[in-house]
Formats: sequence, C-alpha cells, structure tokens
Amino acid sequence: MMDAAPLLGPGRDWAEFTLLGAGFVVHCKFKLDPEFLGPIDSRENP
Amino acid sequence: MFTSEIIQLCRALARCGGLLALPRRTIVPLVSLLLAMPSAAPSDDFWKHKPSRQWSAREALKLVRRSPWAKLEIVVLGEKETEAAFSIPTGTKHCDPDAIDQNGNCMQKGRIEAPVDSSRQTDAAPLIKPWAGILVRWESATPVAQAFARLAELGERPAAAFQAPPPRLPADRYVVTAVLERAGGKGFDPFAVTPAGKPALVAKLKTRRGIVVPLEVVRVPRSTTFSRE
Repeated sequence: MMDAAPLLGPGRDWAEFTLLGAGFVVHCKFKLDPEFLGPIDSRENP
Repeated sequence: MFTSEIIQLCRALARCGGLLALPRRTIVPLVSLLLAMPSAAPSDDFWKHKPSRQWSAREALKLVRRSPWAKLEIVVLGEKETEAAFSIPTGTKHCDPDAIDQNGNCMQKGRIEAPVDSSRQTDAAPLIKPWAGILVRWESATPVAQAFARLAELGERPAAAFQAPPPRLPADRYVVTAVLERAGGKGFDPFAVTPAGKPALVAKLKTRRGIVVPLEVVRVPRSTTFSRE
C-alpha cells in the first residue's frame, strides 16, 4: 500500500524493480496483470 | 560454483519510505543493461489459456525461468568507469515500447552498453566486459506459485529445488527474488557475505504511484548447489 492505495492495479500495471549492490545494479521491469499478480491472500495482496 | 545464496526481497506494505539516497561509490563502478529478452509470443502464453494442472514440466520451468514474472537480467561487470564509453545499439526489435524514446532509440532492452579498453584506439572494437546473469522473479505472482506446485506434482522436485522457490511467501507482501544464474567473472558473487559483514544491498520498487524504498532484504541459502563450466 502507498498512501492507503494499492501499489498496483487496477488493470494492467507495471513495476520497476532495482537492486543496487557493491559494483552492480540490476534493473527489471515487470508488466503485471492483476489477474496473475497474485494473491497469496487476495484480501491483502491485490 | 553457483552462488549459494538467494536474495529475497520483500516489500512490507507498511514500510513505504522516501526517495532513495544512493552513495556515489555504489553506482560508479558499474555498467548495467537489460537483456534483450523478447516478450513471449502470444502463442507461448500458455498460462492464459491452459490451467496449471495441464502444464508440462517444460512449461512450468519456463514460467519460473523466462516469463513475464521471471526475467534474466544482465549485469556487465565494469571496473572504475563512471559511464559507458561505447555503446552497441541493437535496434528496437526486442525493445520494450515504453523504453523507446521520441527519436526511436531503444533506451532499455536490446541495447548493450559496455566500456571500452582505454588503451585501444577509437576505431577499435569494443571490449566487452565479463557479464553476469541474475534471474529476477516476481515470486508472489500466482502463476509462479502454481508452476512450482506443478513441478512438484510432476515429480520434478530437483528441478523445482534448483529454481529455489522461497521458503515462505508472506501473505501481505509482494516478494521478488534475485538469484545469480550465471556468474560473470571468476568468484563474482554479488550476494556473498564478506568478512566485513553483509553486502550493502538496496532494493526499490517503482510503480505509477511512486517509489517504494527500502524493501526488506532477506537472504536465503540455496538448498541446491551445482557446478557449471
């Protein structure tokens, strides 16, 4: 959640993941469809 | 030897922080790029039209290794270059449409930026540095969990174990994992614990709504190790 709003969705959405370490960076863009995004628990993980 | 560590990165829903302040030394010595992984063709989107209980082992493995939720990212291992001195544009054929700028240049996928050996002349061929492959997977996505379950169902436990699903998936978090799939240089292990302590890892997630940082980082030992040429 961010400011009480779901971080992703509704609808097709995207997220860019970045990992910074010593001497390297990994950047990955995901295009996410809420249909597949996952609920492990749909009430809490939209 | 393959890395023995997995980094599990969890975003705690209650931990939405401010902007990331990056120490310069962290970003200076590196050059990175995204691997030009062509999007799966519609005909390959088996997860859209086939229930998980009908997935083959190959399909399940594909989903946890190369799919919209699992991408191999390439890290070119630089030394002290502050920025790439040479770039190799590879066109926009495999470029994410969102990453094509107004001039038609691919700013993301399909583009390799590699430093050049400064001792070479300007017309020399670029010297491609060693690179490493890191598998980044949106672990908490339903299809990923289904794929691991399917692999277990098909008796592919070794394969599933090798792909290293996290031991836990908190219900209130998105979970992303990063696994070193291909070590680029001898002894390169971005997640190794040094004698001085844990490596400084900072992870962030950017969405339409803003940037979430820091993410919680959890290190999980890999249960399976193997050798590779």
